[in-house]
Amino acid sequence: MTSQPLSDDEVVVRRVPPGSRWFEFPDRITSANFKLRRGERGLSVYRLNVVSPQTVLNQPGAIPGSRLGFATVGEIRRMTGSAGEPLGLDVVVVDDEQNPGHAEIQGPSLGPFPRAALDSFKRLFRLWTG
Amino acid sequence: MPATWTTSADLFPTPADPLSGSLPPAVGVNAAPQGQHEWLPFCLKQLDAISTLPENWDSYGAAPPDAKIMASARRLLLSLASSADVPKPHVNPTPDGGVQFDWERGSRYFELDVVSPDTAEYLYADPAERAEEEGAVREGESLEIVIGYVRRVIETP
Repeated sequence: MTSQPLSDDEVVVRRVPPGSRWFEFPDRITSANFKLRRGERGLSVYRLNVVSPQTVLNQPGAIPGSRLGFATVGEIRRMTGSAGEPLGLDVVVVDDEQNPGHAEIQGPSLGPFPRAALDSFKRLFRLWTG
Repeated sequence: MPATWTTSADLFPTPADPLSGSLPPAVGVNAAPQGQHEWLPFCLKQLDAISTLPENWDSYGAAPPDAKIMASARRLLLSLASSADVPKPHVNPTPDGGVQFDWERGSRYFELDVVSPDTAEYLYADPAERAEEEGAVREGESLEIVIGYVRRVIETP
């Protein structure tokens, strides 16, 4: 694993599963897309400087029909809650030869984000159409 | 009288087929203006579909939906549908085995996340108002505060 600062301009993406399986149309980013499971320290994302969107969508275990949500590293670092409070997030490289381009969005205290932060993620990330 | 998150058995014994256009008898539901339950069969169908999701349904190791949470979410949805003020929610699974209802209009957003068989956590957020309010409601309790937030989302300023 390496840990090095990323440029604000870098774009990171996260898979968004298709809502069509439970009749939720159209595709939409929800706060649940950013909820960490117990034991996870950061939100898994991929750097488009290192891997292509198609690679991320075709990774083992990826769900057919998934979309990508994207944001820049700088936008993530500048994220605030709805009340205007800085969330103190950063994007940290966490990759290896088997998982190139992988990074994590981490908060000031590793682990689950506050619920309000999940809403902020939902408002920030957009669906990739490129 | 404000709706309560009912702890009783299903008010609708079986979900109606959303394609048929018909609703089963609204047994046990407080009288509501005709058409207020139009979205209910479809949302129940969504819950049924969510209930069948496998482990890792999101490709990030999500837990499969918890049966007890889903049953509780169903009762919550039925209770919300008894209020004339509640429009159709978005319905989505969460990676920890729960299910989430949300309403959104403009910058206003309210979500209700059923996190355990008897508890739903909620968030109201509006960056335009710099508003961020959180709390929880438990099964058996009044849904007045929840319905109040939904009204706040959908009302035109």
